[in-house]
Amino acid sequence: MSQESPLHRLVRRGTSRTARGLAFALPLLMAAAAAAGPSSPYAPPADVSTNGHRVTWLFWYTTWLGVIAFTLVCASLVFIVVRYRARAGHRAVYDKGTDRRSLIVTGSLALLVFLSIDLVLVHRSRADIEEYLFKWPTDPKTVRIEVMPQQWAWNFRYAGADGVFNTADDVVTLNELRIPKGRPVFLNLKAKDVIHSFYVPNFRIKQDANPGHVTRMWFQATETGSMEIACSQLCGWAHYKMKADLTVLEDGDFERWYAEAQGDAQRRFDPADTEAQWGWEWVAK
Amino acid sequence: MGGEVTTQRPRLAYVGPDFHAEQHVHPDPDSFLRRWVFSLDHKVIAKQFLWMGLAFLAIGGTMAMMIRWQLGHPGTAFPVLGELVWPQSGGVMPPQAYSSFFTMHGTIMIFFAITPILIGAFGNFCIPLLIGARDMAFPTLNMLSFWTMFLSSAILVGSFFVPGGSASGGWVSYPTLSTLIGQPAPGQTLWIVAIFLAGSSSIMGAVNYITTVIRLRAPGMGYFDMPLTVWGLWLTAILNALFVPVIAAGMLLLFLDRTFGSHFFVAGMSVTKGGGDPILYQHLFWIFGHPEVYILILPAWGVVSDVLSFFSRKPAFGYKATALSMTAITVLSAVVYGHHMFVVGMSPLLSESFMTLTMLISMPSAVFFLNWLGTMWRGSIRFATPMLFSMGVVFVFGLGGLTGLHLGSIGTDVYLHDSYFVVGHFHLTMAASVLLGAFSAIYFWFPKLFGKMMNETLGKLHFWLTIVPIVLVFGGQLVIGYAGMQRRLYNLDSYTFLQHLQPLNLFITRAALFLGASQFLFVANFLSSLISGQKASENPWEVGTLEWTVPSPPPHHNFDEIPLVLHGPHEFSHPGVKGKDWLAQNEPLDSEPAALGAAGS
Repeated sequence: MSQESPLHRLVRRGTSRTARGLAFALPLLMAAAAAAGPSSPYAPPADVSTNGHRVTWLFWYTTWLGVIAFTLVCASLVFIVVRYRARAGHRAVYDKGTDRRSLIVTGSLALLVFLSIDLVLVHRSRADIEEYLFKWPTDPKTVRIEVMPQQWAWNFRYAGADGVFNTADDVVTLNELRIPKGRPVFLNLKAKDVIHSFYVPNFRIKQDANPGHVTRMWFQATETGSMEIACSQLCGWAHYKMKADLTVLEDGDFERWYAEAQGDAQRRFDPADTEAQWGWEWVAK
Repeated sequence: MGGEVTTQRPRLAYVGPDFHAEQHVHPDPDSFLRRWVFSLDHKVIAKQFLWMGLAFLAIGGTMAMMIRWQLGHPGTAFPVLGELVWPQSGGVMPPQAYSSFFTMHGTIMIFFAITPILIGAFGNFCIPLLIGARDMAFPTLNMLSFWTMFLSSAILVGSFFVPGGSASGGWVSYPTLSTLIGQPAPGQTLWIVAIFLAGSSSIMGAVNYITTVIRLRAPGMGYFDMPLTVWGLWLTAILNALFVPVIAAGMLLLFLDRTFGSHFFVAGMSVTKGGGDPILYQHLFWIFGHPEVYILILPAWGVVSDVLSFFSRKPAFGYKATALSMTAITVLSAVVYGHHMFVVGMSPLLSESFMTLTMLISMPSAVFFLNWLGTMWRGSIRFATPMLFSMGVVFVFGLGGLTGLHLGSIGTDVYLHDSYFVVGHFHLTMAASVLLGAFSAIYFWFPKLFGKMMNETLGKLHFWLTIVPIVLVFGGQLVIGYAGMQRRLYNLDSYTFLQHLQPLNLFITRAALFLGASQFLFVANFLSSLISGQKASENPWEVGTLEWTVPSPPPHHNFDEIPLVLHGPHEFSHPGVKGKDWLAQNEPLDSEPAALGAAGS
């Protein structure tokens, strides 16, 4: 450059500040990644399901590879800013990056990202689908429950001793789901009015409930205790209040409660109360 | 010819079709209305879109501040404005208003702020000037596009004042929540009409942009001689033309459901017999909705790809690979939409296919991302404000792109879907990256738009005070989302497992208010530069694209003579050029004979 305009001078002075700013951003980023780490106050609620660890593993695999890739990007940015800033006696190289070497480097780095991150994600997710998410439980001890959310409450229905839904011995609960520990729980969901979504953070899973057709999900708890079921799909102004309690009981306790509740249900059953009679033919496959 | 490096085509005289000759020089319009209101001039229409977009950016941004206020300080009055908007609750945002505000925040930012600024304003301003044309191919359609958008925005603003308030079913407005079952008030119907009209405006613009790029490139300008900004805008226009009609169809059916009692999307207990399928709407919405995020980001990518080269004083690294990567992403964007619907209850076979196709996007993304770094590599970087904002896009889009991986894979999406992780991710990509790209474009083309320079010191301050809170706000949202917090919650009171996240919410809110406040630097800079900015020369940034070969601001007909294009857009630091480090696209190299047979007008 033959002469330097005042604009360039101003720009040049800002350079070292830019470099310092970018260098500052790096540790900030690492801190942010660590902020969500398993031991941090921002870790999700304890995983008490047989399959939640799959989500955790895949999340952190993706996150750490992402952090590595992004750190490399930031490091090159800092290097570029310092090394190639405009200054007296420095001139850019006339290089269009179209030579074979540039193409090979760019192409192989892109391929590396694809193979190391994307293909692993696809592979693991396919395994999740086949071994867990869509592998519907066939264990005879499976607890089957129909779930019908509405604005703004959760209705749960257990089939009772006859195994058929919408009969007099069904146990129906509102905003309270009780399940046994160590047995698969298989849900059929169908919404009454608008779309809701059944979300249990402790199990790392969610599934939409739609009006008009049945969706399915299953999980298995590994510990007893009280947990929360949240709605995760916007369902109107009171969406934020649409919570249900989830209680995981020892199998014996669950069976005792279930037997008692069936007795109560049969006593209370009122064939004239059509509002209270809902349910559908079980969808297993 | 001196040296081994040559950029000029061996054939200097243009022998292609003679479209450029059809562009006549029209006299400047003399009436006020034809000049400033119902103008056919692409530069005036660009400014109309810019003012409109900036106004809505301010409205949508203020709404974001109010949303964040409710999350950070639940149940307290929003300072000053709260009392005016919600006097009945003492200035506290009620839960109904909260739903309405996040719905309208999303709608306004996407359709009425980003779309008008990047596509409406810079699409209009840049396409003809950067390809050497006198105007758009269809100036009347162009004017119609703006005024349709204006009508649409008037209806949208009006919807706040109808009984029952504005739409509140989220920016996606899924039925059955958006049918009469969930939203009996007329605000939702007006929202549908507004989106339909905004879509019509986009289609008009798209048809115009596509035609202009194909037919009105100056002689000598091949597709791979266009600035990457034009590539981005052109690909966006193609996506708009293909996919906006799909959402328009969805809107029309939803309108019929609400107004004429049809049941396209209605199902559940309220339907006694038959009934439709609410999921059908989600397909229609996301067939458009996923390309839409690329519709928003492609122009920004284009601008960034150009600006990085301009201020690194070095040709764009792998120009063709960047253009083709953007094209590949455009094609892929059409076949990945199902990743928004992994928890809807779709067939696992479909989910797997959508996931695999989604992951393919990584490769072209990585290519142009590396090309961005390659462009700066061995450059001589001038850190002007447009450059800082473009580098900001590289940084923020890196974060946003990588967090998309978590959501594109089913294994992690079953946990993260509809959480704040999603909110953080899409704000980093289609909000923060796109807005930083838009700021880069505004700072860069302001001299050409208005003939004045913006203040560099204020601009740089604006950059730093924007990028830092952006990372804190949306990074914070990623963290809180992984911690389990769902989207669209009015407060955390109902859930025990979210209680400990309130301090983090407060932190995000404070960072967001800081981000909002620092935008006043931009407003001040923009307005004061407009009034009393230093007069801009023809080519203040010393770059070679065609708009910088005409006066700032350009005359009504842009080019006295249609230029003859001899080089690509990024001829910097060419060893054959003496005394300066750039070469205009229509400027012959010193060492080479002058252009033969220059095109007439």
